Amino acid sequence: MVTRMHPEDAPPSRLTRRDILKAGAIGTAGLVAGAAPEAVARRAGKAGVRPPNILLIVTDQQGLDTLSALGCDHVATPHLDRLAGQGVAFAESYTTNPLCSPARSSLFTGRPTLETGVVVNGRPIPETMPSMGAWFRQEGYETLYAGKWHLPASYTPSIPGFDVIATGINGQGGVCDAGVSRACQAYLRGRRDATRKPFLMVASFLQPHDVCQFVSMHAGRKEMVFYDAVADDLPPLPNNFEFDPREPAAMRRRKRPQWSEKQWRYYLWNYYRMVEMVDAEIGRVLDALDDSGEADNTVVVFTADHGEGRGRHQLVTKNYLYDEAARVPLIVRAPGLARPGRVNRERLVSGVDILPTLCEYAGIDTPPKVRGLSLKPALEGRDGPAHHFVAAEVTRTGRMIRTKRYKYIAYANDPVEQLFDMQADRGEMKNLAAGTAHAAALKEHRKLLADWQHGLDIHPEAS
Amino acid sequence: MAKTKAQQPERTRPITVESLGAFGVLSGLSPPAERFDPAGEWTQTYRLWMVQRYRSGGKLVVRRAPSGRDGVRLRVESTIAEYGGHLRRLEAVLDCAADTLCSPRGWRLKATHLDVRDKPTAGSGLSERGTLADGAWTVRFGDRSRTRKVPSPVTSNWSLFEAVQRLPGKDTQPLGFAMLDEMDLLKLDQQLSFCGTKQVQVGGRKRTLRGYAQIGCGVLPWQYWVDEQGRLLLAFSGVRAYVWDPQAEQFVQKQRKAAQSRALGRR
Repeated sequence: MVTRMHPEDAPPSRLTRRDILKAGAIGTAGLVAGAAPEAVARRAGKAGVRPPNILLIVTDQQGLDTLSALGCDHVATPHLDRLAGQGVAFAESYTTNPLCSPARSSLFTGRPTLETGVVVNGRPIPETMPSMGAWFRQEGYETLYAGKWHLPASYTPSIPGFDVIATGINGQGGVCDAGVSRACQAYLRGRRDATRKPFLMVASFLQPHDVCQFVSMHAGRKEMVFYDAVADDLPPLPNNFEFDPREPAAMRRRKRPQWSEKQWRYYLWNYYRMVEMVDAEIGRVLDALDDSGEADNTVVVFTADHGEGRGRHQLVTKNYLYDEAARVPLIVRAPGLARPGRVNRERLVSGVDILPTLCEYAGIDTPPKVRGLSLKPALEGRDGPAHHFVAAEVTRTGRMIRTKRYKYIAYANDPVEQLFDMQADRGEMKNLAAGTAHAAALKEHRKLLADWQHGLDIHPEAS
Repeated sequence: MAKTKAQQPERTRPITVESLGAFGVLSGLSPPAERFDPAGEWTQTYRLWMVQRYRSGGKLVVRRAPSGRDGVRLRVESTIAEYGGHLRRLEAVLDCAADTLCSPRGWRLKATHLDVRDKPTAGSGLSERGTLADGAWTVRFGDRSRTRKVPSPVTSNWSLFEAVQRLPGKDTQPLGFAMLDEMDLLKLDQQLSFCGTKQVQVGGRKRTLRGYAQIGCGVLPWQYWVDEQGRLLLAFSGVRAYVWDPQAEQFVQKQRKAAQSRALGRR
């Protein structure tokens, strides 16, 4: 996903030619075979401190503004709120592709989905592309994975570079997420030896993805089961419930539920309960991390693969580029944060930034050709490279460029473009692309998109 | 005879008593007609069904025994089959008050997570003990412990499987409480209320079920349906349903063997 940096923003390369050859020629399997536990001790000796543990928490289908700490009044998320209070939340955080497998391919490789080739669900990360588990294991990390993978299988006992400690059940977050948090809890509480290797643990939850079941169960005006006791608690319709019918064709083809206002609001109420369910599971993992005694030396990152429609533009689920699907939570809690509890509302961040951020915290090189930027300098209050824009893709043909002021959306072979002023029109209700007042911005964003794509090593199966 | 696709009911209906009936989940059940004492000693076994394609993949066993003058002991076993031949198992013993909500006072819990070869994963082997007293919720594991304040009254998700069997139907006043989900996820502001009666065919007989609905933070609404004797036959929420079925254990074992054959055969 994303971005293209200004030349002056390019991070200093710490890769050797040998690194690049190693990654490119022998691929992920070779990296695993070359695992070197002594690398950890070497780095520890160099820096004088033990490399940090890493806990990456991923939820599925959770939009950015679904935390009470980030202003959502319809949900209680005490555990994520606690994490936000101790960490830094990014308010302009975008997925690389608002669909499960594609977004995850970027999280674990730091590459846009045009490069991973995972532009639809159910494809694997290319074997020759370095990915998180093998990369960290090579550096002496104990690498553990619990929950949803979806590259290609949703759940599998075999994930490259990771020991799988729990799988799950497709489509059943309400049933299987507890298994994910229990497995993480058992591992963390059982870590009693501080001299052990540092760990990289991925806790990958399915909720609130069960909203997909809710939507399919209630498609076509099927009757909903209402509970009178919640009538006063139903969230209101969103401010951008309406939509512009002159959307790109890909959007016009989407089915919008023909629900009554009460049904829409009941769908929202259910969705927020699912968010609360996963918040509780996350709380179990965070408590276990505290119990382990290693929380102070652990970098915790929380994010989601993509968001959920929530009635904005009368849409449900995902796989499109409006903010409700493309903007995802990102919270980092780590040693040395400049201002814990802060919400960073300025910096544009992308799913490709996760891997380089974790690498920098671990003190290891970033895999070659990673397109993201480490957030560590910003988290520590230092100057560092930042994205001028972030990019996202969807459904093979859709592309998004988000600069600080504008969002530009275009689909191949579709004359309808969209340009939104994200400062004046956060709900993306007024398309500025059709008029002349913003012609210069439109032209600039078209060029940003063209240049960004031109600079990618596009996977043959991505186009 | 197996139904053709066109004859099968739509597989994406919300879970209700009616949809479980329409999908044939209730037709094979034959709860005994003799007297059942919800306040006595009993064992209830449930098969876990999941709404997507209405597949089943686990069991829940709740055993109740009176304990002392004012107590109840619940023994709980939960098994859930996960993809790739993984198996998640929880065993808990709860010492509860013999009150309306079967409120836990103390418990022991073990969680195991097995791979396809029945080998514990690195996320297995959890063991903890807990107590609830005077608004303090304490969990002990190894030589460590954690204590938090909790509002009163407090019960557990498993206790509710016991409590609803003793409630008086339409005369039940709404009950407010906090809930410990699996004894370590605190979920606040729960409410349990009577939600009516339904007549359904269960095992070829018409039965009148009475229902209770639970809503609250961190849960999708639960419905619990008990028969004329008070026996809990159905409990469902979101994408899952627990259906009374004494054969659930055999089913889980058979399913486990099949999953292992598939997974190990592929390797």
